[in-house]
Amino acid sequence: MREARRQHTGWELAWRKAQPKPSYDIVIIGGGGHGLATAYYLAKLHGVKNVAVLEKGWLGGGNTARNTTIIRSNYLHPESMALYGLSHSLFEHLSGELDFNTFYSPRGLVELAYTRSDVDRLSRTADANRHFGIKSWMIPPDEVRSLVPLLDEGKHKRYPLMGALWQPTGAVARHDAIAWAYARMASALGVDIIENCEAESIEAEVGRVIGVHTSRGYIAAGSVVVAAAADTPALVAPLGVNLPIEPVTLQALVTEPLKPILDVVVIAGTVEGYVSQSDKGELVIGGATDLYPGFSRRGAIPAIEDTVASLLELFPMLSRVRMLRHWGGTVDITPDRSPIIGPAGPRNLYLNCGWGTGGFKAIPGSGYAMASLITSGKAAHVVQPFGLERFTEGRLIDESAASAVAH
Amino acid sequence: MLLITCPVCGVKADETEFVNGGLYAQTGARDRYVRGIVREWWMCDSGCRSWFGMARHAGNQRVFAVWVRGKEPELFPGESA
Repeated sequence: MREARRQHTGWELAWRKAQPKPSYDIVIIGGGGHGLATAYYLAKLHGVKNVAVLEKGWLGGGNTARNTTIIRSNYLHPESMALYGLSHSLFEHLSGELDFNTFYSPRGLVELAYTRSDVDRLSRTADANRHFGIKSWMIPPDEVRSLVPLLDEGKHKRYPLMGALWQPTGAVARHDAIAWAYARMASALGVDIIENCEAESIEAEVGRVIGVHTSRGYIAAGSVVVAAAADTPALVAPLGVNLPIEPVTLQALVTEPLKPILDVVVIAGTVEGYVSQSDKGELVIGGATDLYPGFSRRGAIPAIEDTVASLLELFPMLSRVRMLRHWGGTVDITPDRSPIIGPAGPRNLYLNCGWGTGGFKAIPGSGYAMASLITSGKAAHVVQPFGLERFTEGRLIDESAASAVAH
Repeated sequence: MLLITCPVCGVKADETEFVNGGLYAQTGARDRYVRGIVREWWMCDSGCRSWFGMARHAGNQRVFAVWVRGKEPELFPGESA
């Protein structure tokens, strides 16, 4: 209100535009949600403040800016439920903790089942959830209809609605706010956030990392965290760390603002689409990735056509709605659709990548666990299963079903 | 959207008419995806259904060459292992 009266001339920067120092205890490469959350929890919970976050572009401008903001924890494996469940519960009080409105909206998640195979898959997930302590359960078609009145139904449909998985705490949040909130608090606690600073290579000597060569000079580091999504493999390959990560374009779109018509998050795995309605009334829509690897972030209309065609099967009344904005990101896909978190290669090098299509919901949990892992020197039990060694030990954590849109 | 010309049958079409088959192993070519030129197998799905090679920039989507299997062009500037 005060700023409105002042023609918005009095706003202060939310985080310091820090100049890079010659050295830090910890350098985090990647100024997205995961890197920023790690920096915050290092400073807040562990008192480790001699930390820099390096972002090659603008803060949170990678996948943190490009997702469809869905927050849920209905994953299949106990390791995943621990990690995503932790993150989900941290989201619930994040606005208070970070003193920044994250627009967290726990409106409920409906994951639709249209085939016998959907019912089996989702029931299995719901049972595993409840067994672990995450509240989700199957609901019959009648209850789905009352939650999602827009759904088109009747004898003319090829596949009848068979029910859905319902997670009542499923939510959305304002994705940019998450990045800004963590950045603001971390900066206030003493973390240097350095934008427009690209990490070019990581220097290691006698088996441990010693610094990072950046576009703004060399920065010495006691430890280095690489939270750079699809840019991570190129940074760590010269250190002998080969990551099974493939970059793929994932597109999303928003429609023009509409009056309130959808007050839950809907995921339709059968047709590979998901949708929610933002506070501005826009439908936020996403679907499957593009069909070949790349970094272009552009994608092309056929992928969007597929996603929207599918959703129109479910919600034909949307056929005249106009698309307002469309974009793409580069998701880092691992063979088991689970992230890679933990130490790798030279000592004091840590990875936090491979989140693929599902990283946004994990930001708080990932940062929290990462900070604990780095400071304790031991693998925090929540992230230990996701170490890179699982690929050579044959311990894949296969979440291709629970990552909703199997690909 | 990639516009691809099949080197075997000459069909020129959108990427949706073709199938990506992963990296094309060739001495000197990259063995993983980078923001640079990568060499891949593609299949002419709507045409002759042969597999052929393609060099494209995985960052800006520019197509540098397509070739019949076995007849690879020399490495391009900016392309290396």
